[in-house]
Amino acid sequence: MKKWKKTSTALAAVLAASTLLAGCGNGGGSDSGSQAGSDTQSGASGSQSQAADNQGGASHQIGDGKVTLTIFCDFQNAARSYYTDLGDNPVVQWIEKDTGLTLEFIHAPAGDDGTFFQNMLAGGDLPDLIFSSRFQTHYPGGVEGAINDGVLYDVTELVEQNAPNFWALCDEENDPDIQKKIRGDQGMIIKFGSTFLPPTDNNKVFNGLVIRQDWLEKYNLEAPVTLDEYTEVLRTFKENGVEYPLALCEFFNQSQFSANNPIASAFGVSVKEFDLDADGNVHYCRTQDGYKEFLKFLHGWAEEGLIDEDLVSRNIDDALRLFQGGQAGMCFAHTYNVKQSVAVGPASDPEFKLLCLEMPKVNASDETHLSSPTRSINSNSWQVSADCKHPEEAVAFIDYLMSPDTLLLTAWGTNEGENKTYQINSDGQREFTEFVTNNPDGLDYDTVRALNMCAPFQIKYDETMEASQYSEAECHQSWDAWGKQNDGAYNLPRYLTLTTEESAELTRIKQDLANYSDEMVYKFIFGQEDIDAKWDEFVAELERLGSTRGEEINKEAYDRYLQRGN
Amino acid sequence: MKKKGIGPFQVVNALIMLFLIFITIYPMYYVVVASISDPILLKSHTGPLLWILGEPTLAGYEKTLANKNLFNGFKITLFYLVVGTSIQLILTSFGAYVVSRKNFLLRNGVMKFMVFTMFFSGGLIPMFFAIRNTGIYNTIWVSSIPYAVSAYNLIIMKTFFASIPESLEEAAIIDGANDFTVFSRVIMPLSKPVVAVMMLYYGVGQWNSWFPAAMFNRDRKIYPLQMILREILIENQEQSADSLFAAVEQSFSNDLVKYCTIVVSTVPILVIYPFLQKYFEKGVMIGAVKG
Amino acid sequence: MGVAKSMTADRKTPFFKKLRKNMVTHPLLYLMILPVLAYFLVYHYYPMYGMIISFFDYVPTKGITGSSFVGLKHFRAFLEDPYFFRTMSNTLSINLLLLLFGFPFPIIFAILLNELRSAKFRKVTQTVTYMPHFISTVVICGLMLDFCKSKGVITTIFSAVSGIEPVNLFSQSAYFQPLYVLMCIWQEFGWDSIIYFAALTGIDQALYEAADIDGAGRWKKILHITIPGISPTIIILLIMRIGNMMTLGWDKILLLYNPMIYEKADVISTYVYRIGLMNFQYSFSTAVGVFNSIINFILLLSANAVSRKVNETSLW
Repeated sequence: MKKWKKTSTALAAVLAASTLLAGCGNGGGSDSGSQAGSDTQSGASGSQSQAADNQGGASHQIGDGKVTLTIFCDFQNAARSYYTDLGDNPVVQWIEKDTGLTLEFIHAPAGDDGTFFQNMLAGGDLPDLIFSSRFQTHYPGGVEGAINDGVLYDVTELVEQNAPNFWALCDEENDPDIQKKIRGDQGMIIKFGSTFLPPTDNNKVFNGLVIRQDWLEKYNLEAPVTLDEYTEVLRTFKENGVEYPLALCEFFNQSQFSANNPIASAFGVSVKEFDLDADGNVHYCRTQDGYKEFLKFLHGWAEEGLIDEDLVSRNIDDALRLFQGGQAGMCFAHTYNVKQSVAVGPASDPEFKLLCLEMPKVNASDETHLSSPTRSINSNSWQVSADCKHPEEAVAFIDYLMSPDTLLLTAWGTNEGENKTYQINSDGQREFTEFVTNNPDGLDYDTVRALNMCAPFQIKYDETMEASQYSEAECHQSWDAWGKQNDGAYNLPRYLTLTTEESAELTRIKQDLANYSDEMVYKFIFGQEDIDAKWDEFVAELERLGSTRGEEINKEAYDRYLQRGN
Repeated sequence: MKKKGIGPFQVVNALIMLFLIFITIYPMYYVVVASISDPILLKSHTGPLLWILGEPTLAGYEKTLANKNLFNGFKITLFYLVVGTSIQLILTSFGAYVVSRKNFLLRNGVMKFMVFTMFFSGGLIPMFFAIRNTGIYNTIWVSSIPYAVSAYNLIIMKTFFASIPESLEEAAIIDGANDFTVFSRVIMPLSKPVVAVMMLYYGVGQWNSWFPAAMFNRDRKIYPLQMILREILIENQEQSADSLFAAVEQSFSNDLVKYCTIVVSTVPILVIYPFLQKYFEKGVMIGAVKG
Repeated sequence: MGVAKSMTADRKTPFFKKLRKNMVTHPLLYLMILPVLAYFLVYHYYPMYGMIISFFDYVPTKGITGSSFVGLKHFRAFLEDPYFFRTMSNTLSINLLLLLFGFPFPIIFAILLNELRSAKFRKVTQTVTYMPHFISTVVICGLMLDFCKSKGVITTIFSAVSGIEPVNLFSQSAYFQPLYVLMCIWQEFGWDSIIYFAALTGIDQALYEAADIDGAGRWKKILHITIPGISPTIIILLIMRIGNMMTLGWDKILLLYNPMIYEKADVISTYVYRIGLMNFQYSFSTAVGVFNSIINFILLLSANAVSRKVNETSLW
């Protein structure tokens, strides 16, 4: 028993940690963050029709009325206390009626890291439709690899012929690279039903540095932009007894941080990735001269006590806590944390005011290119399994989810029955009713939404709803500040596909590089190793461990990506 | 035994015990205090927690206990606890008894056969197939039958059984007892302390069991309590990442819920211990041995 | 008498004949062990074929038959890994520390607790000390990290006692192993001592009374009655502990360590976790698991053999 208990706790840790990994694959908090938001404002399609209007006739009938589709997809955690599975959701029931399909659901348990999915794959009985990022992120050869292995059905032809709503959403994107993003290296469509974002969300930077504005005012300081100004501000904080002028966190394993590369991006490098340069070449960041400068710079801060050794055992939340509790003057945050801090901060200090800062730069006019803005079409997508007996109906069903009316339905609910979920306000826009925002049964907003709307079926987020979520001025300021002269142009596109062999080799190389250099990087920063003396040796070791080969593999995959759709 | 006065040894010993109590009670204290603290203050609190922050609140418990599946999960867990622990206890004591018998020819072979499994296992996916092929996939049995005997526990039990004086069994055999009645009438009654330990080991295991349900159950109606609590916990932890748009006020209770689920999942099992404790008192066995 | 007969069975009798005879004289024993053996066969031996993926480049969806055979590649990769020596030595040194300090602690605690006069005090101590076992690892490790930061409670006490400048204890590789071992002892000693309480109940009280009459002191009684009384339990647990040297409760290490202290904190399991499980290198992870199991198994066999020679207590 004891042994079994140990095993299970060990596995629990594995589960917990690889959830982080999954988050990482999605591009950190920003991506998964905007997921729950949702649906498209009808602006583009001009359809404000209520869901109920569609009910007449069998125009949305899919199949002969006898088709059953089994679906593996998300099931909102908040709904798990109330519903057995997504089939109990009123929106889903409405859709079943509208399409004549019978839908059956399989969900992974909350907190599962993909082991459930793995078992399902290995067990050999796949559901008809699968919503998952795992084929994209973990399957050798990606979605196309799974199609070649006979696990998934190649939907390319069906989608090309018969998915008008999907193509309409693609057109709305106005993105010249759209074909590259939805297709794999072999030209198959691999991102059918991937999440689309409305213009308000798309291409925004959701992560960056925040500072105590009230302290800036107190010490007569300007909001810092250049690294020298940052140093000046932190120094002043320190002199005035601020315990942690800048509370950083362990930055290699905190995906939010390492995906946005604050400070490092000022030197043109990321903290741990392979990056592009202006000419489209791939570099491993830690062999670059910029990285040496970055380390020397942080070492300077550490020497002065502007950052502290505790950061290695701090996660992003711990750092935020110090900031919100008034012990830190500056920290790294998500727009959501900004909203949260505005509410929490005053509890410890009534003067608490926060300001989002531009990404630090060497010169005020510099641009940085290593953040991770949100973007339409990400690693999530709907897949039809090779076992599916009704691939045409399955594709038609997913396309149905992308129709303007269904997008409204899944975002705002059916609005049937005694509890109306939305109403049209004086501006002609939809808004949630009191039932949602201030539930009579005391249910929180999340739960009401999980019970009455259907986020797992939402393929495009709703603009109106998104806007209403971030009403605070600080949140809007965060996008302005963090997106100023800052984008993700030097990140390798997330849409690359590696072959099975490449993926195995690259994984190994990345791991070897990280194992050796994570340790060294901290030693450099905190002065346990001398940067000038050891740098050449450090770079040579990284090259020996395969940094150059890693650059080649990425470059080849990038070139294939550029060739897609040509 | 002679009664002696309180000597320096007793004083020092008591002080050591007090020290151990002091340093071990803190995490439990921390969890309880945190679970009823003001969530907003808790959010920005750093450093050791000494007392409830702000006005005490039961909001976290309300949120945790409001879950509609909680009661059902509790029923499933009770089943795990009663049926699962019984199966484990019965099979383990059978096994331990047989390999403790000197007149069981295969005892060394069987011991090696079982010990080998403590070290080598095939991993999750073969286990998945074993469970599916034996027809218990997606049933309430996934937490008990595939984990029916722990070789580790069996060895501990066997060690105790082996230490029972042979003279006692011989007496029973002369009275006409067979191998099973020796087990049920002589060995088991004399082994109450180790049976209590096994009940604790297996019982705690069953109480905390969630992994088999997570991996081998698709039907959410047979999720045990720990699985439901895990989902509550994860729901609350992931709120910030999962739904950027959750009203911030609600997100404060996340930390509370974390601590409340620990209290809810720990206290019932802590309560069991005092009932088993009486079997760990000196001289429990002596009466039986002499009688 | 069945006992006498089988005990004196002729050594030269062929095994199967002996077995048949044994089955006839003790049918109930065979009947009782049957479900246990069936259990181990179905849920342990049958899935064991999964280990052979360590000889393949395993792809889950292709199954073992569809994956390519690579022989000892993964084992060789592990043994030739540049970090093999470091992680191996960390694993062994942490385990040795745990064996040296963590193993005796609950025994000493149980004996000392047994000496307490007040039954109520004894019970309360038992109940309280076993509580940390139940608090989730994440919370415990979170508290530990907090207490060891540069202004944390443990750091403050440590620096006051040693006179060393207060620093984050988890940023200095030298402190990791002692801190980890202390934390493990603290979390588990109460729980681990339960089995010794049970063992203590088996000691014949008459022995103490006789010793009292002989005028033996407290230490004499502990040394000559209490410890020998629980020694079979101690030895069996020790053997099993030794057979576990290569594996550790690494989930805790994963929560506590950071790259800065890999030097002393990175053990085989955490290393394999980073390079294997996180990246779905099933075959490699399995190969390391098999390697560890073999070493563990050999250690257990040796410990068992030594113990059988020295004091006649052994697993079989």
